[in-house]
Amino acid sequence: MNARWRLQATCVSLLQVVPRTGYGRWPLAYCAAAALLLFALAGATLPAAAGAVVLVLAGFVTARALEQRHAEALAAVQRDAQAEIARVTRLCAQAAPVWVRQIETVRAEGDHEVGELAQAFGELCQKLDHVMGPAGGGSPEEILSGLERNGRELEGLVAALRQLQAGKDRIVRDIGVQAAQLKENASDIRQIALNIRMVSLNATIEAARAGAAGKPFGVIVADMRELAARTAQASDQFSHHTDRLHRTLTGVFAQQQDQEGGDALSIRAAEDLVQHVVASSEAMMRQLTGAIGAMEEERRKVRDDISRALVALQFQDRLSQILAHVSHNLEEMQSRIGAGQWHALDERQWLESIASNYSTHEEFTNHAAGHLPATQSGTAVTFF
Amino acid sequence: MTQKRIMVIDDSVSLREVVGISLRGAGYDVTEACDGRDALAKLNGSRFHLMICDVNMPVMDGISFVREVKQLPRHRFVPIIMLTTESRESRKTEGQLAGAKAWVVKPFRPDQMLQAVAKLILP
Repeated sequence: MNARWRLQATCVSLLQVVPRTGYGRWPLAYCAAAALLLFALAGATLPAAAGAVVLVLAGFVTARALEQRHAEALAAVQRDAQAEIARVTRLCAQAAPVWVRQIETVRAEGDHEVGELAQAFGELCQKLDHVMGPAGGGSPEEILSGLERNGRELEGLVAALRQLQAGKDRIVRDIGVQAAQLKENASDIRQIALNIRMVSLNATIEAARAGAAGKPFGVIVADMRELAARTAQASDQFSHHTDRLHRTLTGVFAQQQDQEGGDALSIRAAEDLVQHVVASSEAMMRQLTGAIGAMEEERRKVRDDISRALVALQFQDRLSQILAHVSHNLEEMQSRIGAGQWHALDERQWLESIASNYSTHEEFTNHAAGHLPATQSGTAVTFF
Repeated sequence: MTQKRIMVIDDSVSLREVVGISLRGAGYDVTEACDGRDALAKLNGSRFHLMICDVNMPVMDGISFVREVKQLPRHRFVPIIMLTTESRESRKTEGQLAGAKAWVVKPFRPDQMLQAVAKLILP
């Protein structure tokens, strides 16, 4: 048992000194191969055995020396690596808050500036609507139509004035004719009174010739003569008044003739003026309508441009969200480093944790290194 | 005819402006809120015909806001459009279950947004 134990102990000792790594095994193997070759060539002689033992011992020594050097080199590399990891960790812990601040600054400034830009666009749109929108007077076409209507009404007014003037002229002429007729009538009455007077003179002569029998007849003839005298007097007065009336009407008529010419000229001038004003206003309105139409077309183009700009401005929001997620992840990393949990962190879990905060398609695409399908163009609206 | 009132809830100033430009240009009266809590405060004593809400916001997110609104008798029937960068179907389902009426992914085209608003807004 003792000898067996010794043999086992010797084997264990030998196994312990056998090099464990490739750095030591190869020199030992070479030396063992050389010892076997020596035995094979020289035979089982004492010098050969001694030489083989020396070779094997040299192999052991070399192997141990190489292993020792390798272990020392490995330890040095590990120390350097740990120091490097600690340095990188410190660097990350210090850099992360800087990056977070930079990202937040970019986000805040981007949001502010794009907000200002959007506000400016909004004011621009309102001004455009205010300037180009219907300002209570209707569209240019409606204004033009109203102008034409006003022109027609003015022309109707001029025509009414013409009719009024024609009616007035007719009345004045009728009055003149009637006045002349009255003068003729007065002349006729005076002639009749003269005739009656002549008849009464003859009757007086005949009554005187009849003597006493004609005396009553003479009284009647005297009455007739007096009546004729009064008729002649009344006829004279009527003729006098008729003359005055005729002269007055003639004067009025002459004055009216002069005024009529002036009125006709005034009405014609007014008519010409109305037509000129209406025609020039219509021409101006047509020019204005053309200009407004061109401006309206430009406004539509500007509105379309603004509409496209509004779509583009929304990318700031997506950008801001992506930056916010990056910032959040950096803060989380900083927190883990600070808590000393960095070494225990599972990379896969960490990446899954990052992905759980994503919202935009771009973030998922970037996370998957571009392996996700591209986003659909245009807006997706889903009604529930 | 009275102006229809719409509340726009988004933490991004630029997005609120962009949505506001589109809606005001179409004749709507727009009220802005910067998150769900702010929006709930502005609902007090007011009546809105529609709400447009972002999903990811600080203080109170959009889905929580929709759930809160659906508990308010005065506002529970006001249609809500979610306007978001969220592309995940799971979040869309959350929005639908919370009570939103539509899901619009940013960036939106103003005409599409106006069509959605015209379709959903209360009379």
